[in-house]
Amino acid sequence: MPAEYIDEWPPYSPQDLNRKQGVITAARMMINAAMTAPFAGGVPQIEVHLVYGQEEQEKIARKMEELAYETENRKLRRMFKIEAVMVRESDAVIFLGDYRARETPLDLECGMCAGPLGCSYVYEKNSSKLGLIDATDRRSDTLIKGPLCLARVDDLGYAVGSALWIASQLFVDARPFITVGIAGQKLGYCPNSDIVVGILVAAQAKNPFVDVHPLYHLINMKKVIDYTRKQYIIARVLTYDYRLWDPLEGEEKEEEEG
Amino acid sequence: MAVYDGNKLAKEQLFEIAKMVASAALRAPQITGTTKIRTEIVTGEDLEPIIEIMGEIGKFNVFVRWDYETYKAAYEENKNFPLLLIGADASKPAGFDCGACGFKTCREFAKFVKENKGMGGLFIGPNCALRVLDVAIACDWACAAAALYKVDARIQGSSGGAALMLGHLEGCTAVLGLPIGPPHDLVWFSRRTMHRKFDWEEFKKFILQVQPTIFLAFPGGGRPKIKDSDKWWEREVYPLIGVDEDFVKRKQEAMANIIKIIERVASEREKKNKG
Repeated sequence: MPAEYIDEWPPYSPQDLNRKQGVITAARMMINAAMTAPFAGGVPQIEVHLVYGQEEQEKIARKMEELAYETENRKLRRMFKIEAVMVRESDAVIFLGDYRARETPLDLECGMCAGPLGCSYVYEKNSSKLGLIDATDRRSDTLIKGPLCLARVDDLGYAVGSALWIASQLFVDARPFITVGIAGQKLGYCPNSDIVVGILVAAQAKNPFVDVHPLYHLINMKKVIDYTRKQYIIARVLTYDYRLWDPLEGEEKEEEEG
Repeated sequence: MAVYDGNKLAKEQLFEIAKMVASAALRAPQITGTTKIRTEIVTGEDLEPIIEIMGEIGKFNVFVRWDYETYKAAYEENKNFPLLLIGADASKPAGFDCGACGFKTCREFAKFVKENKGMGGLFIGPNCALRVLDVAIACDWACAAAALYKVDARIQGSSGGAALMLGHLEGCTAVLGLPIGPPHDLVWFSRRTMHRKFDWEEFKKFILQVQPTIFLAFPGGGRPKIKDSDKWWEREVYPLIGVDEDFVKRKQEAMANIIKIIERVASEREKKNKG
């Protein structure tokens, strides 16, 4: 009978990878809930990328740090930098995208996107012909290319909510982030979606997604350990031959070299 | 020891469940952290104008008609059947400058809101996409909470829109309705309340209008016939593209009725408050 050892230390050790397997299983259950969430008309519109692993998560975090300096918005810059740390500390990332949010709106004239302007807003501000949106021009000088059909965005919210509810049921920590979603979308996850939300999932002693301080991008577990690695060895400058003398035993008659 | 009618108590319990469902909606995680979710529980006579307006919208909107019929039946059976309304003022931009609304900055979007704010088909808009996400996450947690207590529920734009038109959750723009119960298997899905409320002719008309491509004969001639009967080759039935004057008239009459209902309810409420 095999025995699985599970512990969160050191990160990415065999015991930590065993622990992360549980989170990936939970993430699959969360994705089930996202797929069965209510949608207007029951119309399929959600695509999902489940991403985990040191290399993949580092790429997402780096993209978020890059985007931090592409925005003039100070709140968003702060969120990109802090939430990049959270991506590194997560056990898994779920990207939920809605591939109908810009290209195939609901067409109900519900008013969610522009009130009395109805569907005219989304069809005229995007490029369209005979009521078909031309999504081929994906250039944008904003992080999300809008305008989007907000009835579809509402449906994406239901999917996100359902995933978060199951996380809560399964006792894994999870929170939704638009910063993570934007970075993921630009890296090519959920490739058909104009809006993507990133849900970070973790099962560790401390919830990585709450209780952070103002310098979290500089002072977090990974960084603190690295600062220790940077500094500690230098303290070994206090050197002597441990075989011949023990400073803790007081003065000793040193043996003559024979 | 007393013996209680479990079915009766289950119906009464719906109100307590509605409170717990509202609590779950308020606990839901948010993307922005600043969307102020508001809730209202509507019961008894206050349901009547909402149902009435849904009936009017149902005259030109089939999914709303289905909701109207189900509400009417549920209300007849249990007058205190609760409707939970969940919403927020989503027209206030979240301050991320993300571009999802189609504007480069939140400041430009706020100006667009000021110039255009008003009622659409079912919601007041314009709205910020990230705030709509927050409202939807809250609504979903409400649905999940109802599921946890094992009552059938269905998140709806129809009841939310009708309630918004009547002034419920004033100040909110994106409002959705969540009926709590009634306590029965399959109330809002595979709806028994629609039995015998439509016939073959009405269904045929519906499906031909909604799925014409299935029923088209050979399109290569440029003017394909619609197969509206088994012996479709015997008749010359074609889809006609144009303004349906009758339907437009029916829609306009229903919308005029809705305005009358709103005015009547407002004056009744004013009288009640004065007296």
